Amino acid sequence: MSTSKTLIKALALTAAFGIAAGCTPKTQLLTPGAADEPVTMGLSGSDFAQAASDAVQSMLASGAVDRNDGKKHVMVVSTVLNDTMQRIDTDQLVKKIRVDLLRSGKVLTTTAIGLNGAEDKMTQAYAELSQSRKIDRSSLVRQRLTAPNMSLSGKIIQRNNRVDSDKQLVEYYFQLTLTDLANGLAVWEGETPIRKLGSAKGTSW
Amino acid sequence: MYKTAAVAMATVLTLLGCQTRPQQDELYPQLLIGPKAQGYLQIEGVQQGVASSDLLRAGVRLYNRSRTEQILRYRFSWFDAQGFELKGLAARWERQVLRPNEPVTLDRVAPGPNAVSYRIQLFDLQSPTASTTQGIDG
Repeated sequence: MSTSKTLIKALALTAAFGIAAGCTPKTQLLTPGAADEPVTMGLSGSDFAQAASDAVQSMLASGAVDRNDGKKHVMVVSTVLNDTMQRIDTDQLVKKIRVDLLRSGKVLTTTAIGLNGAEDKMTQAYAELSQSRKIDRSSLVRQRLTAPNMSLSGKIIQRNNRVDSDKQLVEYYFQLTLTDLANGLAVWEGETPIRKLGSAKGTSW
Repeated sequence: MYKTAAVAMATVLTLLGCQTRPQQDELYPQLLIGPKAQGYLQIEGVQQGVASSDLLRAGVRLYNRSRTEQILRYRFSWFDAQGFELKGLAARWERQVLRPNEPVTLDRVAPGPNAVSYRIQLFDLQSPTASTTQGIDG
């Protein structure tokens, strides 16, 4: 009797584990652009890629970053405000733009100058190496930092609106401006709206 | 005689129906169109030009000739002189909603000045892509 009870318990446990394991969603790699790519109410990587792509394509197509003297523009990243209900690192947007502008051969980005100091602290640290006795002075290179001539700034805005009783419309606006630092004029401006309609029960933050 | 012709016709139609490979457009060799998208896409023309002095720019004008809304999945691939594919945001998969008979232009600027040729892949959202290269997602 006790043997059969133990057997039943073991079978029940095995079945329970089997069902639990079978119900566990599998982790999978997503293929970019695939039909089953999940769409979220919040901002996802593909939204940032879309906004960055639109911005770079618009800049290149407009000729705003073209120079006819054979030189390249030097851009500094100013402030990109996050005016959404989500905690966003705006570098998700800015880095994509920087990478693509660098690839285009039209724009270089300075990492030595910024509103909050140098992005790459090594630039400043390198300047202090000349004071160190441990350094072979002959190996030092004289620093001449290039001043930027263009500034990228912007804002990400979110607006939530109720549609009917059970749906909500979440709108995101990626607004960017490229300013010529020589005269303070905006030489390029762009806005990418991304609109999502989903359940009112879901949250977008 | 009629029977043989009917059988031949049925075979051809069946083969066309089962066609799953994307096809290169005869008129526009830069286009690679998926089997399902071929059923509703009407290509009006392919444009090529230059942006920002030395960047290749390509575009395609098309419309949806079906009676229902379709979702197109497309990608511009860019190649250098050696035939290597160039990466960048301009080579990512994107989607475009096509309403019936509404003309749409898709165009992109190459990611860099070393791009000398391009290919435009046009697939229906539900069709798998034939190419294993997926580019980068940003």
